[in-house]
Amino acid sequence: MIMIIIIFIVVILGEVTTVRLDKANKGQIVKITEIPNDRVRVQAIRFGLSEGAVVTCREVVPAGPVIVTRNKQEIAIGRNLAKTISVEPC
Amino acid sequence: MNDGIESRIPAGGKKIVLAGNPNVGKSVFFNALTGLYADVANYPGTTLDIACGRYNGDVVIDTPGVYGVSSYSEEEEITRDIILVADIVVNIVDMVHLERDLFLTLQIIDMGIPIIMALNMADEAERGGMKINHALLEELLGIPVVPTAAVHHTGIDELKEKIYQARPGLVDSSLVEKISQVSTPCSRGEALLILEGDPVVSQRCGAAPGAEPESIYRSRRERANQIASLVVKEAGENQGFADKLGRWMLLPVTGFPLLLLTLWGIYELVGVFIAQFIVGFTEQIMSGYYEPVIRSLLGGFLGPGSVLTTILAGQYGVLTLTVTYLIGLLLPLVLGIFLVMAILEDSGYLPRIATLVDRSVSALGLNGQAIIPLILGFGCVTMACISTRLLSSERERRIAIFLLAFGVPCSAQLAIIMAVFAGLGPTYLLLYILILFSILVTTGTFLGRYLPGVPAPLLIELPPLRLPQPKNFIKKAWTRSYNFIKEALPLFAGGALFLSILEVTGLLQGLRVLLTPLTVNWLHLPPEIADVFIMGAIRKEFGAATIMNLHMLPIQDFVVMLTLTLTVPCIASTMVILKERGWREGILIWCVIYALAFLIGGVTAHLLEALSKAGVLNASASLLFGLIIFLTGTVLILSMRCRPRKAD
Ligand SMILES: Nc1nc2c(ncn2[C@@H]2O[C@H](COP(=O)(O)OP(=O)(O)O)[C@@H](O)[C@H]2O)c(=O)[nH]1
Ligand SMILES: [Mg+2]
Repeated sequence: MIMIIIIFIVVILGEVTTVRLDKANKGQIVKITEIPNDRVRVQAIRFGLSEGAVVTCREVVPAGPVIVTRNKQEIAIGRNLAKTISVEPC
Repeated sequence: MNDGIESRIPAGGKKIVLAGNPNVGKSVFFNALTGLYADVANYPGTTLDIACGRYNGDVVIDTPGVYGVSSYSEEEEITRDIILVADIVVNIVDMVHLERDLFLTLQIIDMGIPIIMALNMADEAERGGMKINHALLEELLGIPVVPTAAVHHTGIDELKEKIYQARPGLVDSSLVEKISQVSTPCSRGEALLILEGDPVVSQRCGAAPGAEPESIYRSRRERANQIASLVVKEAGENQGFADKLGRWMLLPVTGFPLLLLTLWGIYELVGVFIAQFIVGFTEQIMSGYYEPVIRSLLGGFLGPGSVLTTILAGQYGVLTLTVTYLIGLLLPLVLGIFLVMAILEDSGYLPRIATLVDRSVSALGLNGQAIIPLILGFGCVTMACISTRLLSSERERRIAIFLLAFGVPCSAQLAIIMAVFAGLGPTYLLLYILILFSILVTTGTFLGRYLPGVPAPLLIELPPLRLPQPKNFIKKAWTRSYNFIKEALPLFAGGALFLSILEVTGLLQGLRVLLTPLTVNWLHLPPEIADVFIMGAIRKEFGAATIMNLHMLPIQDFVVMLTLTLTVPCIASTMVILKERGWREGILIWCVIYALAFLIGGVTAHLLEALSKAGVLNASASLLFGLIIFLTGTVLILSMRCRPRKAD
């Protein structure tokens, strides 16, 4: 029972503390931890944005896409897609 | 499909394939290798053009830019099939983005195809304070590497010298065994793609697609990153003016004014300078010199007024109308549009526009990339329908094509609109724009909401901003225009022949009568207007002269223009829609659009008449009318957007 509660709390905490890319601030450096969409994940690996990649959030277009950079490479990620990508601040 | 591309590539010599990521300089290399003359092979089953040229008796092929090959998009499939039949791949790599580009390089190396790398953009890398140990890169990859700066012609001669030293590179050791285990009879390259889970290649070779494509991708990405970290000496920071401008283009405050400025510039160039000044000049030459000469020549041979003379050189004559429209009207327009497109493409502005408008376009159920076909639609709807391949999902392509065919007037339509509205005054023009805009937004919102599926996410790379090279974009524009005209020629000739036959056989008269309930009773127009719609289905410009000669009331002119804009622009776009969407969906789209066009046209006619009968049809009344429609649209959209979406 206690185990279940602990697991439950861990899950909830995880969910609450997971930061999504759309919440990143301009200039912030983050590590991409999860890209759920299969197709996007494959395309992202080719771009160089695999899970685990460290990127800089260059610009957040108000209500629009998030622009991340990595090694002089700039990639625009639509707002709705950015909402699904989990990141970790570093 | 595979045998298809082989047969399109000119025979003789080796096949040298230029491959690389988008915007790395492939086309510059293509031009440097092949000189000014290039064939464009139409890839079977698609409308994407592949440029082929000759170098030393061998065939050089330019491919669409891709980040990797598999079956994720049409471009990828084409590039994949061309690489699979290549004898030599010249892999063009952007030095500044080496890490990104190495993924494709390693994939081609793993396919076992002889390859040589052009490490391009050396000038940009140097400016950014970046150095690459290319000897070490050669060693790590096992292939020749030549640093180049293609636009400054540096390194091209060295590349030419070494091109035949291309060789298969060092394959990822963990893949070698797996590839040899693929037992179906297929090439080395196909075996790799099967392992990577490419469904199309697997089916072609009759094998089951590999189960772990992602792990192969992931380890290749890691290898690419590792190699890059070993060979890149310094990566300096690059904060030039281009960088700042690029940033301004993305932010709404500065981005929208810049976009408007650009659109205004395009309008001034294509819409005013070319469509009015140049076309006025070329049309005058055609109708003032060319047509009379043909008429008198043919009249001399066949007798003036004979049936054959009418068919060949009459009002819709095959020899007169076709040539006048193609050379006098279409060629300058198309050339101008392709020129603008090529400049936009080469400069790297297009993906930034897509990012900027992503939010606004999402109201139409589309992502920002769809702005490109929509803008192109104002040039040529046919071309724009083709460019919807750029979009990443079926759903978006469907919406974009419908909007293009329905609510976006092409340059031919715009030309007539401008001419007719010049006589009607600015109020009608404003009304027209308002109505069209509301229709576009309402339709888009409606489709976006009720078509199954969710909008495809935006994920695009923003290439660095560059000053486009005239040699590069002029050649691009010229090749595309030439092809366009070549393809349009039979369609135009066919259309003209069809109309001439209708005319001489008196069938045109019969169709007019047949259409009277629609034209006279519903739209309140003179019966002759049927010609405009019949011809309009073939080519909108065909009807232009008729509209001018009918001397209708302003309201009637307006109704004709609106209805005409809403119908599918021409036979060519109809064909493309059928081709892109399949017969069933294509015909459905076509019929729905025609029905809606006449419905909206009729309703507008009745409303405007009611207003003018009440004696209030002056500037302010029609403005009011437009505003009402505009507001209705907005309210409709808002109400639709407020309801929760199930699909999310
Ligand atoms: N500075 C610089 N620009 C280049 C070089 N090679 C190509 N470009 C430019 O990069 C842009 C894209 O080139 P293009 O050949 O159209 O790329 P493609 O998409 O790979 O065919 C154009 O504006 C070219 O002028 C180079 O070596 N140095
Ligand atoms: Mg190119």
